[in-house]
Amino acid sequence: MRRWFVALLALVLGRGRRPPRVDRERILPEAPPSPGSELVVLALFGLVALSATAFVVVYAVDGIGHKTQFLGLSLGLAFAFLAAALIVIAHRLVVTEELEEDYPPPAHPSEQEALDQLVEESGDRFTRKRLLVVGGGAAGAAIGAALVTPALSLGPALEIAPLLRTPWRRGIRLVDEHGKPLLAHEIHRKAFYTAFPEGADREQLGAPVVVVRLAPDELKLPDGRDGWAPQGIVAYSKICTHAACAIALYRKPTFPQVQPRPALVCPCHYSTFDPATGGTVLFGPAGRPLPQLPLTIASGGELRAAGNFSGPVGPGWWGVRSRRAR
Amino acid sequence: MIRRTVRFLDERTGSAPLLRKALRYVFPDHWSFLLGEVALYSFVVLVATGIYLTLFFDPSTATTYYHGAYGPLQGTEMTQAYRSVLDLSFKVKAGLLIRQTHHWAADVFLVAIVLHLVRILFTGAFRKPRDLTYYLGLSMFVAALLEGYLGYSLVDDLLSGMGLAIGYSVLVSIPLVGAHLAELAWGGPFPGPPQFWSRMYVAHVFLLPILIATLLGAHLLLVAARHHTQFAGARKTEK
Repeated sequence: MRRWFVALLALVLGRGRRPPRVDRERILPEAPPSPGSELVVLALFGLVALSATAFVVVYAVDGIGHKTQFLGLSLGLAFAFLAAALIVIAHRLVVTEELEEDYPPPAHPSEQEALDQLVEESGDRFTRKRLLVVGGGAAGAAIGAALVTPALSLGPALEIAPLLRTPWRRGIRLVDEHGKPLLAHEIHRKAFYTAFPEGADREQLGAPVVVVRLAPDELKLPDGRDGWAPQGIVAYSKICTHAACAIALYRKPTFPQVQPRPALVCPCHYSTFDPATGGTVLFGPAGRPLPQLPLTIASGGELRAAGNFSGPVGPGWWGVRSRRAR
Repeated sequence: MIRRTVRFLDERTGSAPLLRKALRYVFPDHWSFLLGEVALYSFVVLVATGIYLTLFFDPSTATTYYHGAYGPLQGTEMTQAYRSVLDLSFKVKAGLLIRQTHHWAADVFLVAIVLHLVRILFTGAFRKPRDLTYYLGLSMFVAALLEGYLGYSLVDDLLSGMGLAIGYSVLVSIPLVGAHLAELAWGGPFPGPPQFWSRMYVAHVFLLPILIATLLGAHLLLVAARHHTQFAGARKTEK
């Protein structure tokens, strides 16, 4: 075995010791051989082969636990050993040289001159250059506009109406995530409910609302919202007006000394809204109140919408404050 | 052997002078010049692992119920996109390895780009005659950020949904044209029709990679044409 190994080494290392050709001058500087480094590289190559083979074995053999970890370990080791081998080769074995080289010329003045002249002389036959440039520009702009026009089909770019649409209408029932109608007497104080319009697509931003019950004497809703909160139950859009995250936290209040009133909180950037005053912003980056949904209580005690939201739902855009939800 | 290969190439492409120059290309001997190369090789890894992932990923928002190898999500309602990611991770042999390699290569890609940019900034290498190279690099950085965002979004887990909602909010908030741009990109108000997923997918696996590769090619050509900057030192000049 040992003799085979020595023979292999002699074979690999013995090559490359060709006598230098005397008839040509060296380009690169001369450097002494380094058999020790070659041995190191050889050993690293062996480890690469071993690790890579281990990868194939781990892949092929079923019943190995933590397969992904072992696959990653074997492949990672293979690459690490390969990198180590290449580093040794680059540092210890490849003949290197330190070169000094001027930067390429910064510019070619005579070529620039010739180019300028060529373009100018090619245009000698034109007599009304400016008119032709204007005409060509107009033609190019028109054809460019024509070519990008189909891109408008990507979306209703010129209409704002889709952004204002919500599924809420007068009389639509509020249902929970399983489709069960919300009943007024099941809405408790200090709790937080999510509701959807019955039978509508729940993925649109205008669908989900949060429902909370407050003491009726705590409510200070803006003018024109009389009767929007029967028994003190209020509903607001669940979509934060800052960046469209879901309002998923209800501070009810946890620390009465510093937070005397309940508040709706968005977990993304901590926009905080006051449910008692029409969803006004108490804190955080949101720029406008949460849109409120007017409620009524039907004969069976079910909560129903009494109309659409007080404003457009979702993140703000140019002119959003002057629009109404549709 | 070497002689024969060189002759073969030179006689057919006339590239011997070019290759000779390339072999002796003067490269500054400082580790920070490798940061750009780290980014380059991460991109190569991203393309290679990304091609593998496209063979298993299904960019569809059709609803399905999960009945796969991962217990905690049994019977959960989800999209085909997310289910194909779960199957790729838990069912396909070595799938999770390739997916995680793609994920980490994306992180390394961006970190390397940023560190490379920092080096360029603090050594003044962004100035003429390398300003074009610098702008190409900046464009690649933006394209890489967008590419990473799309990859994050395509998975369609909870994080993707939040990320997309925030991206939509950022786009609509652009003064004057924001709402129109967002409706164009999403095909309507958020979350948009199912086609939005095909749009993200074609952008992630085709448009942006091609854009980055093109910018990368131009970037490298310009680097070779104008050469690297150097650190100050004996006998070293920037001219």
